[in-house]
Amino acid sequence: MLKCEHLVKKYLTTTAVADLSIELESGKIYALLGPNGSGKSTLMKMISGLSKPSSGTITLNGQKLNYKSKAQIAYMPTEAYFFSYMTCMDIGDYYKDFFADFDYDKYMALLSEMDLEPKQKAREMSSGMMAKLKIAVTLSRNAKIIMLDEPLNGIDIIARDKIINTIISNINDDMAVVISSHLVDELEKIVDYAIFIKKGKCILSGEAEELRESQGKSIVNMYKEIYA
Amino acid sequence: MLKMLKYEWRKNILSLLIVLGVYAALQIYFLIATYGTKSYGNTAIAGTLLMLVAMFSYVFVLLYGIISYNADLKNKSGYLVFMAPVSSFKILGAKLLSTLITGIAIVAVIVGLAFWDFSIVRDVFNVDAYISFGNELLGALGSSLSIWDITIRIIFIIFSSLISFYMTVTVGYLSVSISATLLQNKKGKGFLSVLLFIIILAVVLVIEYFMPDTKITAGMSFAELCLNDLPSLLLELFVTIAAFIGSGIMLDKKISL
Repeated sequence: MLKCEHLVKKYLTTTAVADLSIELESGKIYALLGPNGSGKSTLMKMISGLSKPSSGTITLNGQKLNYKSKAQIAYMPTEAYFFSYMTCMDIGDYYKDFFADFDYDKYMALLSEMDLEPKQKAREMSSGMMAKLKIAVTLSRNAKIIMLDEPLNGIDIIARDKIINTIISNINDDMAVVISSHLVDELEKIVDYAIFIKKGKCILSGEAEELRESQGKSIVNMYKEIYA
Repeated sequence: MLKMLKYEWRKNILSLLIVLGVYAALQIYFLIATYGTKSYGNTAIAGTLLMLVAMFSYVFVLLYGIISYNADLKNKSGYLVFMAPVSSFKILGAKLLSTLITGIAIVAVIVGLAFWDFSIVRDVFNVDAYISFGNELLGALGSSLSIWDITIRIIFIIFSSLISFYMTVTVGYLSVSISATLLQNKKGKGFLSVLLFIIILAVVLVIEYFMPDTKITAGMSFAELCLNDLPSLLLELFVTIAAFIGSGIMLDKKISL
């Protein structure tokens, strides 16, 4: 469905992504793994159209990405990204205005599930509440590609399972879901496919089960071995 | 674009409220000076300050429009704008329109209050002598003017002011876009933007200076005077369009948040 071929993203003095090629198919959950600065967020931002590749191509169903493709791609950045005046309701209205696949009722239900008040201002939220809000608004879209950048950041250990369950129960087989996280053990149990990124390059990727069998270890242990 | 305009307007409303707040405070001072002290000197000071704020508000709206675009490229809230499936040109168009609406709203309030203030001064102080002198002067000038001339000149002034305003804003967008493209995630983008902004506007001014223009002669009609300004206006229009398209292309192809 989505194909990245020989993607390169160079900044003035650094190369964030170096000749990276991956392919995403619907119905799968992808774990994008790597330490800080490995290029995970840059890759997601390029797919979402927020960052432009220095070279290489990204295609969605055979078409090169353009601004219209953004209608089919839901991206949750790791940072808070709402306008300072916005309440949860304002954010829902914004998404409703711009994304035809946004389900406002589902958003309200998710806010309630996450114990968030619709009239609460986003800028006044704690990091945990902000993380929940970002997940709620992103999962309320019925996009072809869902990308969650560090969705468990700021979420306490008790709430993590709830977030993971919310993610699982709000995706479907038409979607390809990409999740990046340092908390690999939390992802181990839910991912179908793992992509290990180091210094902007994909150094190992494959079906999670096949990787476990071929490498003879868990994804967590592979992560430790690669990045230790 | 209208949806984007709605959110741009909501973001920019703060700038409108700041300008109107300052203006309201000075207006109160003007009323106290006029009705409270009945001192012509105090009223004159308040009136001068009101005029200064009116002029400053033009610069403020213009700069705020450019700063708002810069903030979208610099701050994370820009993600919200640029992750929407809206073309870069529509996003820029919404920003320009929002700046214009903010400007019009401020001008409408300032002009309305200026008329009101003038009538107050006329009621409280004896300024009829000055007014009659002005009327005589206008009457003398009016003998050589036709309604057609005046109408053309007013339309031309409004149109050329609008083009100049938009040229400055779009050159601001272009400077910010070039700076974001060249420096990407490095520091110093603000400084480079300002530098480029000054350089581009200076180049436009230099070109305008060397452009051929008709010599102004006595007895020239207002329509002829407008024709005299036409080359400069066309240049500014060209720069506006080029800066708008250039910024849109860089947003589409080059700028990374």
